[in-house]
Amino acid sequence: MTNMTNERADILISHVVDGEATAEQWRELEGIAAQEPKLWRELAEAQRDAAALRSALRVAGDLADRISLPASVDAPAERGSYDIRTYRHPNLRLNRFGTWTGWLAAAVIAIIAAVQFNQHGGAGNGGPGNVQPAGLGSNVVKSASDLFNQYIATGQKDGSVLGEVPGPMLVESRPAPSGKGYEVIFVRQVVERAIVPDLYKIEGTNDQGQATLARYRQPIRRTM
Amino acid sequence: MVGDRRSEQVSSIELEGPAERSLEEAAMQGDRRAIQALWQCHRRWVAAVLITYKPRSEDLEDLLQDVAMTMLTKIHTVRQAGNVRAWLRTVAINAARAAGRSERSKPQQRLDSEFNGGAPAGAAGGSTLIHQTDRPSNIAVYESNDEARRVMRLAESLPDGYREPLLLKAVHGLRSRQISEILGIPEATVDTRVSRARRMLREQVGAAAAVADTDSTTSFATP
Repeated sequence: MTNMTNERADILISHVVDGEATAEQWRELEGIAAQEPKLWRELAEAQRDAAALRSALRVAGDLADRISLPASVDAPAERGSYDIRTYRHPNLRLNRFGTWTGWLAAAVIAIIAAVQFNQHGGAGNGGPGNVQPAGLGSNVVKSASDLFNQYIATGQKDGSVLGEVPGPMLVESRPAPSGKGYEVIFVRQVVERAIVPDLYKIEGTNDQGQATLARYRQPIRRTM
Repeated sequence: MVGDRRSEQVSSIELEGPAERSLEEAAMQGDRRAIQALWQCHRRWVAAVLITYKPRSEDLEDLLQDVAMTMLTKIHTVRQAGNVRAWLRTVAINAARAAGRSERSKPQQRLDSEFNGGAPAGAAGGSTLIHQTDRPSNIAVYESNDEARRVMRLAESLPDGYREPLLLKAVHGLRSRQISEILGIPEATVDTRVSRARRMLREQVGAAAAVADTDSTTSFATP
């Protein structure tokens, strides 16, 4: 085959592979193949390679289909579908939108916390018109958040709670089921304090593989 | 909103002609549903462009998110409807190349486990660390079978000008006319490049198979 015939045969093969060959192109291909029977093998190989590439690109395309724009641009019909804001890697790494919405959610939570703090008159001291949170049984508890705030306030009074770690840690965010606002899953961490009779440290493991503990001894202070 | 009606109509890559132009105009004016609809049309071939240019180790999903975010925030900078495909391709290439620059600035060593699907470090070759050039292709993430993996790896070695139209042609539903708009080259040139790329790939697959045959023959001959 001449170079020009080769080039033409390649184009014809390509059209066949793409399912775009016309009847005339098929006749032309058959004409060339009558002189060069190896063309049929080349056609088969081209179809095999194209099928492999399509298979790979189909998987990549399916991945791309999972990538939606951030929540504010989603069409109503898409709400509730699987999208980037609910997708998480197995290692819980926040994706790039996740990181962005994380900051947003953290800011929103901070605002909500501040509002709640003011509404409850600080750490449970009560203001005009507020329920006095003197004890769990002495007032009507409005929500789990009220209980949590009471726990912090009571703990701070008796010294068992030092405080809440600022900046709740965002685990997940997604559009609220109602379609208004967002549902955020976050961790609130509390620092507690306790007096214990002894401290122990893990010294090693026994024959059964269980940890063995050793009591911690305070250094003896020598006085002059 | 103008995008409301159109976004319901657009669910595939098939969008073309006046419908696409009016959707692009709406998107360029900030109609967010139009932008979303356009993204849904284009994201599959954007993935193909990213695969063409991205470093092996870079996560395709992360790059797709970068492109999506750029589309959302910068589409108003496109000068006229009809240029969105070409613009989006440029965004994707820039994202992939930026990832390449970032990749080069990273330390040249990574933990084994990162590239072995979470397998314990040292499981491959007994070493905790491996060199970047030693690691398996990240392309495996989006390959569905061994044959696809083998052919994709060989396709990776084709020149950009041939690899890109070849991979775009493998995206379901994308035709030469659309590829010519994406690449900014005539349709006939797309067909020529694709056919040449396919020949190059056939030759590479054939050569690789010949080497594999030789290797297996050698191993049988060795006691």
